[in-house]
Amino acid sequence: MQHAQALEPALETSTGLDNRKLLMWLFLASECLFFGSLIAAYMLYRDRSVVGPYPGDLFDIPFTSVSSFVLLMSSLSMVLALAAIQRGDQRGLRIWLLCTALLGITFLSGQAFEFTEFYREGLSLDTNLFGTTFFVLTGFHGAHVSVGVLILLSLFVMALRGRLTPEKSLNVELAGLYWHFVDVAWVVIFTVVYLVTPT
Amino acid sequence: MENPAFLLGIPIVVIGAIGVLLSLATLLGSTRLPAWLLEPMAAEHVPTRPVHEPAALGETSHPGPMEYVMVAAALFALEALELVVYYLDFLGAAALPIFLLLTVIQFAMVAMWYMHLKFDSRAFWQLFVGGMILAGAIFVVVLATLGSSFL
Amino acid sequence: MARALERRPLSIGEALRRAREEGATYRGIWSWIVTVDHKRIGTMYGVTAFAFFLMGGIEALLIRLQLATPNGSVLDAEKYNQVFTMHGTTMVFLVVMPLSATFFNLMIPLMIGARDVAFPRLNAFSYWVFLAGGLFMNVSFLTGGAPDAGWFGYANLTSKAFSPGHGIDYWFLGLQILGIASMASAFNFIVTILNMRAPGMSLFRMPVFVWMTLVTSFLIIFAFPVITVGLFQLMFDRLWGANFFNPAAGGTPLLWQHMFWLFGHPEVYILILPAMGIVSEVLPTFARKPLFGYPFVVFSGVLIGLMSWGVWAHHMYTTGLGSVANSAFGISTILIAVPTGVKIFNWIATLWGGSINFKTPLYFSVGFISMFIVGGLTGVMHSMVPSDYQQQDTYFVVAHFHQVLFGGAMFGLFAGIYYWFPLFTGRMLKETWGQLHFWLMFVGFNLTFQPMMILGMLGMPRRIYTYEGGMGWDALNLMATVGAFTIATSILVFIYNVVVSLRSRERAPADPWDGRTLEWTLPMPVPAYNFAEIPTVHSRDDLWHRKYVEDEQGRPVLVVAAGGSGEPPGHNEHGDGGHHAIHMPSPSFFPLIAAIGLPIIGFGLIYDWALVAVGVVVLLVGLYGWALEPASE
Repeated sequence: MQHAQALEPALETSTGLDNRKLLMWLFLASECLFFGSLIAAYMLYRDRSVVGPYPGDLFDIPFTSVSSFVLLMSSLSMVLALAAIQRGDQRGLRIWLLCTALLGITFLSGQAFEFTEFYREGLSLDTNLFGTTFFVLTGFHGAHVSVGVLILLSLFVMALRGRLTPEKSLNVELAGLYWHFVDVAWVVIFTVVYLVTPT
Repeated sequence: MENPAFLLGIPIVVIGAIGVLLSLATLLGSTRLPAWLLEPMAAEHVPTRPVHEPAALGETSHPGPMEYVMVAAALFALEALELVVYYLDFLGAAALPIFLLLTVIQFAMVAMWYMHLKFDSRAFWQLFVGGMILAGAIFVVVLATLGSSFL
Repeated sequence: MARALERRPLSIGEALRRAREEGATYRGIWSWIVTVDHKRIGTMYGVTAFAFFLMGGIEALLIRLQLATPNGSVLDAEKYNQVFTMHGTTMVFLVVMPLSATFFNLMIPLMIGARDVAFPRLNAFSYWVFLAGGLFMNVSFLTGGAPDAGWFGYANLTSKAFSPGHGIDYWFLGLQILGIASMASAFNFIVTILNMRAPGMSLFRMPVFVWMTLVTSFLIIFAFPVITVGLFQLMFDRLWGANFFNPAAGGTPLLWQHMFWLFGHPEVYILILPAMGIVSEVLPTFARKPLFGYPFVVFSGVLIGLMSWGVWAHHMYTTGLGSVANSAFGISTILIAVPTGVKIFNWIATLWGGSINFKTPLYFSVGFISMFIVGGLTGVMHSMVPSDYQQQDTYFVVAHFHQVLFGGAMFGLFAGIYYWFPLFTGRMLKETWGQLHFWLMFVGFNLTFQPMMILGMLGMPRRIYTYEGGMGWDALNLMATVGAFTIATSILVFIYNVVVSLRSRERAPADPWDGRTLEWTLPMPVPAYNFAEIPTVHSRDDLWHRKYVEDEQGRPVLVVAAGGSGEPPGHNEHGDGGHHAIHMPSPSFFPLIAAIGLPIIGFGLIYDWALVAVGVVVLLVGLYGWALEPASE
């Protein structure tokens, strides 16, 4: 007997895997191709810019590292939120969800600051290959983080209204999977774009 | 023999030859392909299985908050290590494999603990890693073909 | 729906719940708008795809009219470019892919013994987004010109400098929208196939069509992100001056070609595998023999899917990649012919020694096999690098891909239409008209495209709007045009057949083809809930084994069921009466609302940022409504 999945406890399936969890992992697998393409374009054009500014002129590694730490810590708060809902700790759930969202917003602010700094230093989408590939890659990553923040805030509001009971923990788990993916994508981007760069 | 692509052909031809010999042997009846190859998923009765519920309170196999914090501390340390390597100019080109290694470890830790892959069905990590391998392989070829300096 | 908007102190949740309850009683056209039933969605896909097929066909006829004679004056160069671009884009994205989706939707749940797909609203969303994308792209004809840089949109022709109008913008935005539809659908079917099989249906007891759908869906979810990025790169270049494909800034147009063909080659297997799946279902039924070498047919399908990732640059041999790359891709392309060959031999072996039932689905399937052999062999010719240097950009390539996409995919899809038509309409398509359709189409097809093989060898380039007379091309082009109109006639015959058959009072008999798979156990037309009782599956071709056992000579002998009616087990006479206890997913209008947001964003990116904001709001309203809708009761 098959139901619409909506917000229901899991049913029997041929593989024993939950439909929505399987869907999320398929989606994340496809996102590997998406980010892989963007990263490849960056790597291809890495040292082919004909005019500056060049990465070495603009990157502020300490600043971006702090941003990266922030995002990494948001993964911790995310998984703590999941642990909270699973053991029925509604207060913990709300705190950690909000914390994750706020850390995400902090990361985005850091990105926004960085973008505007680079822009003021003369780098935009059309300046050179570095500008093009950098802004598009990190821009799409930022867009993914933004969507994640939106989802987290929505879950937070639901939690405030008492609608996120332990049976609904899958929703938090799925949001968490998405959030962690966005985090590891940043780990890769930070290394490939910022650290591995001809100075 | 100027074209090194010939080298690619050799393993392919060898594999092909083995395949042909295998099929001929099966045809002649002296060899049977193992059942698991022909019917890997066969079962007399495949019942539907209840979905594995997320670990409930009290199960010890599921990591608790303390383990998550420890993972976070490790990630913090790895990130810091990356920064140290970045500032060590004497490493030169050797920095690259170190960065990649540190990145992979961070990625794996988040995936295994935070994304729970270590404890979940292997189907999930197979899908995820499959996507990554595919992306990696095709873009290595693209970058090589377009003469990227990265490779 | 109007009642849900009355001013009463209802919370959002209560309002949505009430709308859903009322949704169960939607009637008429409104019931189609809010449907989440896979059969209705499949029907809408089919009708819409067929409408686009007629449109793409008219575009083809315009091309052929222009090229029928040298120095033709039917279309000028600009119009010609728009027509051949839209013909290709339409046929690939708005016809063959949606027709495959039609069969995924109609057949997958039935073949695996499920009542619907894993995510019914996502399914509806896929359809509406497809419709939105198709309409969006075609609106370009009215807004200053359709895209005109070919269905492959090579950079730098597509740059703002060389394509200043909005045509290309409609192209890449339309494709992005369509990509979302395809991906949503693919995710849905993977989860459905893996998770919703009836008890006893292991993966190796699934019909081959289900396997091919699974492989195709995996190809979609991995290939479409790549073209999505490529199209974004094009968008950023065109709209905001980015440098992805700008040589002056150090970029390379070849990056576009890699991105496009990384997607494009798996895409052609996405186009052909479902049709191969259909043929794998039709042949055993009409030969009254099991599919020969089922594991090999399945493995070769999986292998084709995997190998399709290793051959893309065979579209780029002539771009100066160098001999190492060319040789590597040449070898991998030659190798990918092998699993296809395996399938062809298995199909032939299926027919060999069978008790053949000469009906229209069989004709189209045999047509598929023969035409695909020719098309596939010409593909092997292309795989040889030096040979391809002669053939690239000539009509030989045009002949090759039409051979496999029309002679292959379309013939396979028509086989499916004739085969499964009774299941959803309760009526058979008329056999004589069907055979007339087949022969007219077969003759017309060959008359159109075999001359193109020769034209290609004679050196006629692709993508030219006219040619000089006296080069030995005239007669062949005229022949191709005559052939195209013959195909058009055959389509008219088909349309007539459909209309007449639908209006016929003659109901189809139960299990009209003496089928082998689960869908034929159902009453025709299939009721909303599909199976009154989810079956338990004991073998491959489960229905066949319930109906027949083999005698000493291995011939099938009808099993007379206890009770002696001889009817296929599971076939039940009662109509809606037995389904009160079956809960089906509730209809919803949020997928449609969310879908509408996408083309609005598209228009906004072309014309006005305010529209983007509007589109985003509409999309978010649709998505939030969808997420917050209470579970069906």
